[in-house]
Amino acid sequence: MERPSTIGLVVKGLILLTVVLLVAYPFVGVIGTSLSTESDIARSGGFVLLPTSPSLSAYETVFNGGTVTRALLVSVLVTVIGTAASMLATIGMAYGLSRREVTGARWILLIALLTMLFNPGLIANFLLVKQVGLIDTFGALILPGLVSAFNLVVLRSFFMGLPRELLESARIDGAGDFGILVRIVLPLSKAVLAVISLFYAVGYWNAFFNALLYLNDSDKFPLPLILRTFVLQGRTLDSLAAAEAPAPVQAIQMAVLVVAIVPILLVYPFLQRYFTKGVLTGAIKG
Amino acid sequence: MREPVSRRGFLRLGAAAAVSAAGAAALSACGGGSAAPAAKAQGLAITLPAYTPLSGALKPDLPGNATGVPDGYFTYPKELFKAVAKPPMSGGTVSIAVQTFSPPPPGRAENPAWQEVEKRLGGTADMQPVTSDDWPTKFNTMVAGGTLPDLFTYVSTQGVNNLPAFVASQCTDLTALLGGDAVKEYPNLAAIPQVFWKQGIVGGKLYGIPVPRNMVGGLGFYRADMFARAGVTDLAQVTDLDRLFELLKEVTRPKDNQYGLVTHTGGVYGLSIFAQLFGAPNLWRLDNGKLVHQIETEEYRAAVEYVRKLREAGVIYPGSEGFDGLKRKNEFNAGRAALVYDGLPAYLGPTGYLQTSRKIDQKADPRPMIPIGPAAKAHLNNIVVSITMMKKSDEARAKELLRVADFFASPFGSEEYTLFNYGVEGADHTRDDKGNPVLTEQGGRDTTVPWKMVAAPTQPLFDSSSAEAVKIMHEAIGKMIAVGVEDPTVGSYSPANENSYESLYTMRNDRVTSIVAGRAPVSDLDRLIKDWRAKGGDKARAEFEEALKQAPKAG
Repeated sequence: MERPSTIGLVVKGLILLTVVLLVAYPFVGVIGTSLSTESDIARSGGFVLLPTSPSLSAYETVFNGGTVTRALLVSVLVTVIGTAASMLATIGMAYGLSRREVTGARWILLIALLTMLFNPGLIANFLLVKQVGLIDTFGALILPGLVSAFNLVVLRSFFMGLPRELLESARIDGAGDFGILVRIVLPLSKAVLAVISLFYAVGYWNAFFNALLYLNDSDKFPLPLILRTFVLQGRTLDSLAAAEAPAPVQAIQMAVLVVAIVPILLVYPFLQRYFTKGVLTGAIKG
Repeated sequence: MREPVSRRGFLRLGAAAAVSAAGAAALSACGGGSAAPAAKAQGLAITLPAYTPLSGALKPDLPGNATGVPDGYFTYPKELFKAVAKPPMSGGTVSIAVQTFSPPPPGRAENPAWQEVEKRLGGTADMQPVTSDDWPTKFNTMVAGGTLPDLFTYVSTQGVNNLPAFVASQCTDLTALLGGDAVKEYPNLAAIPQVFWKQGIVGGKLYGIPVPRNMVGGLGFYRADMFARAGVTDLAQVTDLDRLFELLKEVTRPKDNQYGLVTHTGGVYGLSIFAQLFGAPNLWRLDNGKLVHQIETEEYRAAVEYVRKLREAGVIYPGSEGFDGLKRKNEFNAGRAALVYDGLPAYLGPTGYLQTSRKIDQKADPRPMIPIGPAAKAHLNNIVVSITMMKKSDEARAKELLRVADFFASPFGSEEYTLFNYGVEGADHTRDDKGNPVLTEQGGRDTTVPWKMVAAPTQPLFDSSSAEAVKIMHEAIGKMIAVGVEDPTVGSYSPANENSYESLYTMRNDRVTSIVAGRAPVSDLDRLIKDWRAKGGDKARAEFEEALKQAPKAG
């Protein structure tokens, strides 16, 4: 293969550097502002890249409150339990629908696909959740979006792409459907499973709208809803900032933002190697 | 950020459908069949709650007066009094949903202030605080889902279509329970002046308990220190608006990143300040039984031209039309602008303009802008934070809920008011050497439960950090109220206004912003007036005029 020219390398390097800077700039700004004092923020017009006298007071305010720590716990639990439940349901449904011998599979798939095209709407959803008695429960954060049709289709396509011979030989060896799923299908689908888990996990981690609609007790609020409150209501955090040396409002907003971004950011690199592979596999073979 | 109108419209429709379904039985009695009744224009035809001030509870440092100038206090009262003799409830639960402007509070298990509120209430208070930005979504799903709590905030710009049908089917009519002397059963509610109660009238009946703010929204704030550097040591030296123009030009030094005025997105370049200075009406003006809208007046046109000239002269902070509210505040506090439009409540307190700007510069001297020149008026608008409505309840329950509202309306200096605002002494606040309550860190969190959004007394002026600021505010409000103008349509109902208010407001804001920004000529104002009249303005005018004719002397 021909070696790239020096100019080509420089140009590519510059383009990549620009892209990295464009992505990193707001992120560094968020972290910088979260560590700033009032005068730093006022001087720089609300966006500090390098605080002159870094202070952790915003983080202290955020974590002392108990509200953010509890919300963090709620979010972790909802994300873990929700992702596990969603994976269980999606795997079961996708496997069932991937078997050609299942009667009515096409219709069931069609119904699932319809939910991608037609949303029942806010109020119908609310009434349903209310009717089944999920208002003000954690179930309301998980059950309404338990199976995503998109993930279901990706997973089903992947399962259908597995060599039939493999599954048939397992059956000849005496494995039932459950055995085939657990011993053959799932081990072969690690990449796509990792990707779909990440989709679900990110979805649960970021979801605030269900919480806003279905939860009344602020003790049960997950982190994104709290984050939203901090960011939207930051301008009037009067009571919170009433203590002696209040952390600046914007610093608190940015600190909550950091707290919300970091956990999911940490998970991402571990799963990224599966990411492209998994999605492409599902898409191409579908 | 505002919710897109289309989605809100959709939500409103959903809620309206639910209202008409739920209320069908109740409404059919009025002869309307199965559909919601056609909303009609309604004037103020009821007896408002009789204003009965609480006698001699406290001695203010700066006494207020009957025109609406509030009492001013330099220190917090040392001797607290009990505003509610016995608990308003005898067991049971009251459910409440209100808007909040604070982060979510710790739940009752970890919140001694919440526990104390329930102890004094004599029952359980299930409070749902909803951020103001999420309120339309939450409120409309509550209406549609039939999960309205006992007491809830109603925000007119974020509410339902056909408000009279909604209140008739879902809410308790408070007219007989509170009108005239009946309100005396609830002494703290009775101490709210009638002007605030007018905001709670829907379709000619009283449905809302007002949560009062100041009588005036104000004309924004100016930096006296920056004006002084330009040679104006007292605003009285600025005798007319030409002088103000010169002054704003003098303080503008782009090289030092310093401008005359800072605005923010949707702020129409601070037009509200100048509309008042030019004497434009407070939304409507009543001339011999005929209503004239603000935008149709010469005063408003003059204000628009004035602000356009300010922008052309480079006085307005470039790019500030893209700022959010916080950024605008920061720039003003940092001394990069001499004038800003913001509501009066933004002045005092730990995050108010005064204290925040002094943290940046000890010599900063922000003050409320006062009316300048012979024509200036101050709009008596924005006088309530919101109104609180009551779910349809039988009379005994309604009375109990009114006692609850009365409890939350306990006045400044009472044990109850102190509890709602400063929590429990010891855990949530301590007293400084002058006796002023100082929130502890825990208190800062515990007091974010928005009790004061359920019901509230009229707001006194109090800032323990600066007696001078209280004096300045007191004097400024006095000057504003002296030239205050009311909106003559307050308390009257026009269906056309209700339905088209939001779209007309957006159209007006957008087009006037374009004119000031120089994207459209000043003559576009004529086209705007024409469109405004055609798209609901004239209809609202006719309905309001009819409503005002119906009950010209009531109130």
